[in-house]
Amino acid sequence: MQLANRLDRLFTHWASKFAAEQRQYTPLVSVEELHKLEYFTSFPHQAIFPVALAENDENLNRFADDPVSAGGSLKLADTAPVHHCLAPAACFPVYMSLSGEDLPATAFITLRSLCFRKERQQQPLARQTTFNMREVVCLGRQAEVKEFLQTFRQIVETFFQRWSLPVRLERATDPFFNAPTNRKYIMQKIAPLKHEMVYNGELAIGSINFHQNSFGDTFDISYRGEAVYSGCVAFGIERWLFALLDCFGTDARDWPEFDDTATG
Amino acid sequence: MPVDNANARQLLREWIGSKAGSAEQAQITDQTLIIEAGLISSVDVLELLMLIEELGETEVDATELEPGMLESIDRICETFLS
Repeated sequence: MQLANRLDRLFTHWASKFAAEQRQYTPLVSVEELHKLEYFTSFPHQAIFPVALAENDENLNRFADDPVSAGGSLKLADTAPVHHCLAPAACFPVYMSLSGEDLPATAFITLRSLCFRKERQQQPLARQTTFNMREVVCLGRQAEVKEFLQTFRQIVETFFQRWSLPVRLERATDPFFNAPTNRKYIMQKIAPLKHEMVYNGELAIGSINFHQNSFGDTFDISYRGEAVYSGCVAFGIERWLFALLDCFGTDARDWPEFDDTATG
Repeated sequence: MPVDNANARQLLREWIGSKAGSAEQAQITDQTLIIEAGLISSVDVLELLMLIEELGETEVDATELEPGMLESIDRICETFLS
């Protein structure tokens, strides 16, 4: 926990170099808004929903009489309509909240959120259904967003080098469902939109993402009347913990002063 | 029969022009960076692949795509239609 907080302070310090505004959202995301992003066709295998029972006595009694199977799973009765999804990423609510706005200046926003993704396999810290994500988001002109992403790339690469962490920035695509027929997957293949921070050649602990104007188009956000571009840098806090504990051990006294913000 | 190279370039220019705004249409050349310049977006990319398949009478495997392959008419012709 102590190391997780130190890490988040470091990420927040990096965000402060852009005077990023701190925001916080509930980890429930509107199904209607996520659908605009084609999330359910792109990542149906990762979506997790908060489900409640339909509120009628017969249904509730049926559930209450025999709620759990011998295998330990819920025996769901009829469910109420599902209008929310558990947040799969921290930054989506940022674009949703800016819907219909014309930005007067480049926006830098940072937020930390609990995120949820269905994983086939679980591994503590490295691959969890529930995890914390810190993101820094930029919305503005294309050139400004690219400069923001490039600057962040330099910040993290300097950090990895300074502490001899075996992390490399690698081009990547998201794990799309039915990838070859998904237009977003194809865009990630042909344009350098996504780079992951890959620890030891196998674990993505963060990513740097250029969205072009896709979020702006989807949510009708503009920048001084023109198309707005966006990009984000995401840090998976548990995965960073995994990497640092793997490198420096579990004794806090052995950890270097990696979060010295006076020099970082 | 696949469409010959000159016609393929013309059809690609017309298709890209139909996606771009009127101001950009006249300036599209075979070297224009069509994605970088925002002339086509992810909304259009599947349609572009289908057009390339039609022009070249070939099948494009999306998993084999590499960065830059669709960046301009020159690169598209060189990669898929030569």
